[in-house]
Amino acid sequence: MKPMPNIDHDRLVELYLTGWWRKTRAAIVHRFLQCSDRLIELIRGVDVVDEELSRRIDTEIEHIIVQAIGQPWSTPMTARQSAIWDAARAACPDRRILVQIIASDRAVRGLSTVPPKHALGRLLKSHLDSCHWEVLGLTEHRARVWSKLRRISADLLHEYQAQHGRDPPPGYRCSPHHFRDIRTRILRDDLHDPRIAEIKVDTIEEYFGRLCEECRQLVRLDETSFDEEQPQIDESDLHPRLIRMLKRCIDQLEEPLQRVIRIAYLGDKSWSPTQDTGSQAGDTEFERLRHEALRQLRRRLDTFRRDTDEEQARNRKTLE
Amino acid sequence: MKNKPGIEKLLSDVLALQQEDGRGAELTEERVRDVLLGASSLTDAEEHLLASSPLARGTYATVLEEVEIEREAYRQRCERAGLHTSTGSLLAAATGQYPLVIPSDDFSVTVRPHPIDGGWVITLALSKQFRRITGPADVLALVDDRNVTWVRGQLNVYGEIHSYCWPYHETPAERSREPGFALRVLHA
Repeated sequence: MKPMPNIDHDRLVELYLTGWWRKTRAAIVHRFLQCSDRLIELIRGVDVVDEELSRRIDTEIEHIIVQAIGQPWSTPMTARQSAIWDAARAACPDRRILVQIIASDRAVRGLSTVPPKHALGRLLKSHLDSCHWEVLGLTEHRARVWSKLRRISADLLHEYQAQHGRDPPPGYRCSPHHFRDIRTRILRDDLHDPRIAEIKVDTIEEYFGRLCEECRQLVRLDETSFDEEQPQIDESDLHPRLIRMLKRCIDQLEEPLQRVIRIAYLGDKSWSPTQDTGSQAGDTEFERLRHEALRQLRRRLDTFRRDTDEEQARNRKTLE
Repeated sequence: MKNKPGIEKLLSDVLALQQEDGRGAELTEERVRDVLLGASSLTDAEEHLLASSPLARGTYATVLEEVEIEREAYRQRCERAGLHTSTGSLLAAATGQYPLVIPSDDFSVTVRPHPIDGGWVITLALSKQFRRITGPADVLALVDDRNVTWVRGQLNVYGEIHSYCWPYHETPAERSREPGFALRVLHA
């Protein structure tokens, strides 16, 4: 890894709470969702959240927060790991508010077509942004940035009306598509405006989420976590590196697990149908093996990383 | 949600439940940007980080999106300025004499033999109007009809980019005489 300039810990934490906020938020959301299986099961299909259930949700969230943020993320930690962890603890979600949000959102309780975990991720992201804004407040700088963003947004809406003879579809103003259009317009026309030239799509989304009346109304809807398009990690962008590593990992699996992977993902039809096909027990066993194969593949990919770390440590020692 | 082919779906399923221990923060946006703009390549450690950290992949995806937006904004700037960023299909004009000059409406390309090492020096020069819409941070590439890059980099004070890496075995004159030969300038 290329050596990074030394920045002291407090400054790094501050960066993870300001300019690099979305990294901190992404790490919190990811870790929170990883520990949320029990919470999702607890609320799945529940129509009305009563007091007793609220208490249990609160307890479960407390447990998740301890697991996701409360303990060191690894030992030892690099400077940046340690800083992002400290920032995550400072930006800890508010249990009380999360319970309220979950109680008022149907999607997170599995009562819509949106996958509940996806819904929970959206809710948490929005909640964390909200806390973040409360801490920082609406500074004069932010007010000026917002005024510029609003002007560009209005220009885009007018252009759409002029071009199509009608308003854009409902929700466009609060969609990632619109935020990307704004960013493109800034780069086209306002490249030298120091207030907004460097603003990122995610930050534009944050501004709209907090300050745009239409977006705020959407947030108040029953299904807060509507299934909007999210900026997602598209693994195919990382081809062929990851695919190459993954293929090596598949080759290292034991034969039954390799076979399950080939059948489940790689179009292998050689599965012996005899007694298993169609039977529930056969399907369950197949799923169990598939999950085990995925777990092992995940672990093997991590091992690649550890090997590299150890190699680096050895190299450092040799140099010393 | 788009349907992915088998191996990509497998990759998604494997990566979806990976642990994030914050180590992905080691991969900075600056590094990813350098890699995506061709100024550098990923180290082994960075490749492994991408394979094992959702946070690192998030950083990569964010920068990739940003770079794509920059390309689109640059394309729109050129379009609004009425610039021709491509030569179109060129007729076989090269005589085999150097320097070989390939003119176009808003840019020109000159290839001349390197005075010392026997290689080639390729120069992309932009018109005044083209230079006006190009910022010092914009990375441009000159690409031919086979999608092979001839030149990549940022403009110098004279509005030029030079390259000393000729990408073919054949000579520039031979290459430019091939049917369908064309060049275009892209935001890299």
